[in-house]
Amino acid sequence: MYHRLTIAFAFVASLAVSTAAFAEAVVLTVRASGLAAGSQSFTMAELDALPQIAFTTSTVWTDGKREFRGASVKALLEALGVKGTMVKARALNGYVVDIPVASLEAEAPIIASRIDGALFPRREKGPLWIIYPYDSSTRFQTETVYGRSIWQLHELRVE
Amino acid sequence: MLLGQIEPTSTGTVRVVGSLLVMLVVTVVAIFAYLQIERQLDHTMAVESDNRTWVLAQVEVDVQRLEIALLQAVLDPATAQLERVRLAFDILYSRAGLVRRTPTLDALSIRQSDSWARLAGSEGLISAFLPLIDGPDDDLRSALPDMARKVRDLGVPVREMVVTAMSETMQLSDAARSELRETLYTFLVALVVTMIALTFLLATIYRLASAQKRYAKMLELAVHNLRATIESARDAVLIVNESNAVIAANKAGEEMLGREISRASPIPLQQFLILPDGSAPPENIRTSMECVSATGARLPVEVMIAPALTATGHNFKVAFLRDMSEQLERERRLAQATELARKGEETKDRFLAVMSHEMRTPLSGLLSAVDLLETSTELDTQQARLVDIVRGCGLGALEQVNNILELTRLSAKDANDYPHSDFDTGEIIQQLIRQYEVLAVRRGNTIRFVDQGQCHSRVRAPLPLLRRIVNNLLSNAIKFTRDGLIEVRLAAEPAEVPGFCTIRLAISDSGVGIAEADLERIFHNFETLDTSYSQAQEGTGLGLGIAKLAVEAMGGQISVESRLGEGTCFTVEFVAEVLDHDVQSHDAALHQPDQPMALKILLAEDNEINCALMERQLNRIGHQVTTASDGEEAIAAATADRFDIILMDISMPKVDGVTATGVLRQRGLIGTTPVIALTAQAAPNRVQMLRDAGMADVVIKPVAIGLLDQIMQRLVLQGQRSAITEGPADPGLIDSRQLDDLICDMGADFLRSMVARFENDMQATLLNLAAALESRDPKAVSGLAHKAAGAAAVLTFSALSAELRALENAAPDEPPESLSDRYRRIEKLRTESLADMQHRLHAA
Repeated sequence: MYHRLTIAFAFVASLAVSTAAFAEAVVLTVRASGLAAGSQSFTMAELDALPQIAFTTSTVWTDGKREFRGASVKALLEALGVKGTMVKARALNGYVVDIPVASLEAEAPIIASRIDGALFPRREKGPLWIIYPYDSSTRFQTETVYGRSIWQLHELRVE
Repeated sequence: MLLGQIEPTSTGTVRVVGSLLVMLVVTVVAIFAYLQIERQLDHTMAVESDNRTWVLAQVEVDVQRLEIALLQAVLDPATAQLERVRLAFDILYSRAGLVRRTPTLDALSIRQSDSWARLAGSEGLISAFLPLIDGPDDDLRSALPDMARKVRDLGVPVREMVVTAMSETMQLSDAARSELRETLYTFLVALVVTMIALTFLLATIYRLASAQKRYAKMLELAVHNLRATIESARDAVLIVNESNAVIAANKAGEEMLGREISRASPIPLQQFLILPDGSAPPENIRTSMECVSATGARLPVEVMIAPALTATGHNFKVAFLRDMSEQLERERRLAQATELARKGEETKDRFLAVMSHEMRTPLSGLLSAVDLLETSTELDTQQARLVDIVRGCGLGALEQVNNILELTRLSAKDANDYPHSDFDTGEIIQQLIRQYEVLAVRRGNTIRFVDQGQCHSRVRAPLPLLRRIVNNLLSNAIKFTRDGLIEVRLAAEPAEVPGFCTIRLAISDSGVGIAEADLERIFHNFETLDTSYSQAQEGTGLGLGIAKLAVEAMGGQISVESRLGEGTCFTVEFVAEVLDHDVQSHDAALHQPDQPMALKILLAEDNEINCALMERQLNRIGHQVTTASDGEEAIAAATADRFDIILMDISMPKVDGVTATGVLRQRGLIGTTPVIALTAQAAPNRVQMLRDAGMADVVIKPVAIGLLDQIMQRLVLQGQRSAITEGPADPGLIDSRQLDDLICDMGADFLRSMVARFENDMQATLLNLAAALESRDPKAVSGLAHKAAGAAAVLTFSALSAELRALENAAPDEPPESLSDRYRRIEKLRTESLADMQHRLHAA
């Protein structure tokens, strides 16, 4: 009990600390040939400035239904004017997955930055998690889609 | 039943139900199996999609990365490097959180393993590192080597833990696969069974369909036959619905009704079948009605309406109409033919009767003339023979005519039309036998009467019929027998009905007999039997036929037994009512007993007033009265005319009543006419004296007309009756009726000349008779008597004729004295009869 309390305190503390840092720190890098200097970095604030999409869904990694909020991947790429066929998504631990550009829908997937309205740290698979609205359709309940639901998103490389 | 019972088999239904049940069960199983599969597939997908193995493997990788990051940070404790350590720790931390939470790892033992506790447990490495990671950089920097070492220590256990988990995973996968396989297998089996059941079901359905088809075919055939039957019927068959409208008809029906009938437009039955009161025809009985067709034609029909029920329980009626016009026409024609035949019969009978009557008159005249010819003229031998022939032929002709008349009468009437009279059977039969004795003797036959214990009471029966029967049978018996014996047996015994007796009369002869083959034929009219005898057999063959009819008219039976050459016996049996010995029993011979007769009365009364009074009284009750004022006048009146009854006042001047009566009797002028004495003296001995004097009855003055009438009626009836029962032995001198007939036929003048001739002849006969008696020549006596008797009979001298006949019969046997007595009687009778005749002829 005591131990858990400690963890909880630590978590909140780190959260508080990192929140400030987050506002300034780069959370996502987009690399594409059409971009100036070949890449574009985003802070959390910059990501938040994009049109936000929110939906509630359950996932195989979480308990119950949670509200996920973030910018649509497709919208992000369009905002950057980036064109390509494949998006390579890389996580902080080096996990890479290919997401075809054609499979990107207007509202799915999103780069979720808020779970139930709150930021989530690295230790909770944050700060960014590619989330699909799994409950809304069986097409989001496939192995492929689960594979594309990369957490601790770090980089998007468009090819 | 027109159709056999046709029903689809029920076993098919059982099979269908069975198959459906099996299919239901199997379907449930299949659905269950499918759900299982789906769950397992989900599970598998979830497992697959989560990459259970990847996660496990990554645990080890993330631990290794942390170790590397820590070692690098030991070598190069720059802040950037520390960040890397922090990153690696966070990644491991999140990985541990994933392992802790992922439901797909629930089945594994990893979370319970020691190594896991050391890594991620509450006392484990991650928890231990947490404050350092989150602490300041310097603290972290200094702890680095220690942390590295700890991580390194955990390397092998973690590896083992992962490997164990991996193998468990593989086992689980295998198990899941087998489970899936089994489920699939179950599913497949369910499917196969379903298929089999389906096939079975299909087969059953097919079989059912065939059965139905066969059933339908049979039904169709039956319906077709039924329809053909109904259509081929000549009678109209109409289907009538509940509201009495015709909705269907067979061909005959449409023809009869004159139009097509369809269900769509029903026509009320009343339009075709008209009952007088406009009601519906009654059900379940045949009714004769008229059918009006649509063309307006009217047809007599016989209608039969039967209620019925449809298969669905609705009421309707079936009407059968039969065209009766043919039948009616046939009946009408038959009735017509019958009527014609009957009329024909009537006409024929009438014709026969009229013809017979017409023929009788000349025949009777012929016979009378022949008799007179024989008796009042001198004939030589040849002439006598010819006269005999003429008489024979005449008699024969007359007999035939009479027979035909009799036959006609018998066949037209029945016993009730014949007047019944009261008589003694034995007496009658004996009388009849006596009549035939002469005829029998002529052929050498003897007639014997045998009384077989007949009851001696009187009977009531149709006497004329009995006479006819006995006559015909006797005459036949005599005719067909020569030198033989004819026996008449009479027996009577009580009948079943009380008050009646059965009379049995058997007439047998020892004559030529009848062949067995002819026994039936003889009763037929106009049948005669050919015999080998050459003598002319008289008769047309009607005798037996008439006798039979007469017997049957009496309600009796006639039978015959015969043997050819030996003889014949006819037996007649009939039932008659038995009467007590009662002379006073009513007589219906000529008149209805209750009906008073109108009488011709001679009233002799000297008192003018009394006379006039009685005359008027008698006239008023319907009688015809002639008056005489004294005995002399009475005698004159009685001589001049015949009366039914004479009312004689006793005390009269000149000639009194008794004297007058005596004179009249003596002269034979009143015969059996009853005389009633009217007297004021009521003394009993006086009455007796009057009776002794020959008065039928005595009435005391003053006379009560009602009583007098009763007495008169009675006496007249009695007189008539005794006249019948005594038959031809009529004591009267002259047979009045016969005389009347003779006068009618011949005329009084002619008769007078005949009588004159007879008188002369009689004179001669008497002389000869006297001579023959003197010389005791019976043959001569008989011959003379015979001749005279015939003549006398012809001229209606019945008493004289009878007496002469008696002499004829007695001559061979009786002693001369009695013969002389007879002779004297004959003489006297001759005088009296002639006198009587003169009077009558004078009056005529």
